[in-house]
Amino acid sequence: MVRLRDVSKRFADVVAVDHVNLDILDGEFLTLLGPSGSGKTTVLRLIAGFALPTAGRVEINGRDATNDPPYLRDVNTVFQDYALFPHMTVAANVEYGLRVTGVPRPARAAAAADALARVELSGYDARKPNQLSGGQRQRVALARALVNEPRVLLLDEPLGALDLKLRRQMQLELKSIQRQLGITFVFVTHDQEEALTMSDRIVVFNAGGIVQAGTPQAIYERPATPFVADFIGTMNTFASAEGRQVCIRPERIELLDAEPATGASVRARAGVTVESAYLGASRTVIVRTDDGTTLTVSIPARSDGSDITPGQRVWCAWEPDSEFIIN
Amino acid sequence: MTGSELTSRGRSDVAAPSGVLARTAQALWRRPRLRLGLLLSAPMVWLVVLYLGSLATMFAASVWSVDSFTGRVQRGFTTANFRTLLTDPVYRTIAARTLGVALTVTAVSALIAVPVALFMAKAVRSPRVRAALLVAVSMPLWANYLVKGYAWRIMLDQRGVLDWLLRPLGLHTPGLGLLATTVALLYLWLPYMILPVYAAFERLPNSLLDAASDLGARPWRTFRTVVLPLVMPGVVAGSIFTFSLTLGDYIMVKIVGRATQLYANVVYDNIGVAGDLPFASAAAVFPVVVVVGYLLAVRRTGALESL
Repeated sequence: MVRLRDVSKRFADVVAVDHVNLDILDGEFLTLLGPSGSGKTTVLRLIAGFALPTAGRVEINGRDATNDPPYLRDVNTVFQDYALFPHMTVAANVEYGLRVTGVPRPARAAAAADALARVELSGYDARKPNQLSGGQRQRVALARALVNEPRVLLLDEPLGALDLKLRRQMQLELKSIQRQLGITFVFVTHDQEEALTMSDRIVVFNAGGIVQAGTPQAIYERPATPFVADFIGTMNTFASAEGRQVCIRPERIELLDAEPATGASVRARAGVTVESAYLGASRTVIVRTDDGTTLTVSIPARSDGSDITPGQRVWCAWEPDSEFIIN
Repeated sequence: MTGSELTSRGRSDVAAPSGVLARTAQALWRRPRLRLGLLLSAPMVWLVVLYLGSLATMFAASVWSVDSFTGRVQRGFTTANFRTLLTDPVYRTIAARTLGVALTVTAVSALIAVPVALFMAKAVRSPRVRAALLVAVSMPLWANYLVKGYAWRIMLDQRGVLDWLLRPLGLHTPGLGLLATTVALLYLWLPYMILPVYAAFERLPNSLLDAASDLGARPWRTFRTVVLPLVMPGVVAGSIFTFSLTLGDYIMVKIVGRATQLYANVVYDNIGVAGDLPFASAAAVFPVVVVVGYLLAVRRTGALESL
């Protein structure tokens, strides 16, 4: 378990991390999510020991590790640029951690072969990193970290450099490796979709502090602040009759041709479609309601061509349960 | 004439070119190799005629001889010059001494350059301080060679600055000679070692140092297994400079070396005083052979490919 207690990190006159408290549980897939400059990568570096906190305390597995150098910490890191040693073969890269801790040659060769098999790179041991594709380097970096059997694996935007298809595939693979090994993953990303797909728990960062922590569902369905609502997915925000900020997700809104039957317990607003974009599985429609609000609506795409076009008169309707009020 | 007429006329000029200029432009455009050849012809003339040509002349002259009676160069093949150079104990001693100085200067400058360059590239965070240090390192290159030579002489001579500083401690300057020559040459060529080593450290991503540490390597281990192998090409590049510049120097040894002779002095003295150009040429083959041998040895380590 990793505990951060009141941890702050200042660089010259910039506060990168501001009084962060966080408990990372054993075996969980925790994602640190936030825009660039929000402090999430600095938190990861503070856990790894690449940076030392200006104030506060870092505990790893029950031990105060605040001032431990990285080589004394029972965590391993997968770097954003992979940081593979260019002068070593794939096998030597993967064996490196075992070599420096004095594991005998046959044992570490076997462990490295296992780790490479886990990431489906058997047979690549004699290659140099520059003979591999981006995705393969990413897997070597993962194997190099996992071979040390750390209790906590830190991943710093490891999928950022991969193309979309490969990224999706690696998301699922990382998740399944984490489930099989049962070790703690601390995953840094600015991609909210990636965070929702992979995490047991998401911690949202902004301006050096934690804004909200919770399961993907909790973060998505009940964002605690306007920042979270806006950062995770798309959110419609408008003022209610009482002057409060009402939020509703685009996919919770239905489009109807006519006003819903009176008495039905639904919220409804009439308007005109402004924009209609086909996204394959779904269609995004922008509606300007008669009271001047702009709503983004996501509906399943129809295959028969009877789609919504701009300029149509529609009714936007949703269950009262789907909307919520922030602050 | 209207605007549209102008445009159409302009276009037809390009479509159906006339005149020598347009045809030349087309011919060149279609032959990228010819363009490259013309572009490089001037530097190629310089390189081939002046550099390779004189080198070839030197090799040719090294197997000629001088008529001891008339003092004129005789263009007949003889291995006498090389036999003298290889068998005469005087020249063998000078050769060994020169190699020793060159290797010492190279090794010591590498030992100084690695920590200095490491500090400049990785420890200094402010770009302004880094730039200032780079200027400081290369500053000795701005000063005149002879000024630097005589400055060292004043410092190291019997009643020089160093002697004056050491006397209260009961010590004395080693004086002028082989040690003074080595120190002065080390000073002269050190920037040529620091700059490529610094460039190598600049190219070394910090994440590699983090990664080694993350995998359990203590600082010395990281230095040995990650840093040193990756900056070695920079050290090799620097060593080519320090080694060959030392091999070719004959002035500094005259200023601070007292009677010490290095190999280049053999060349110089035979051109000037003795007037034996063939023997000077044969002596000049020695550093060429040594440097070519050194480059071949270095190439075997694979360090040249990453330069």
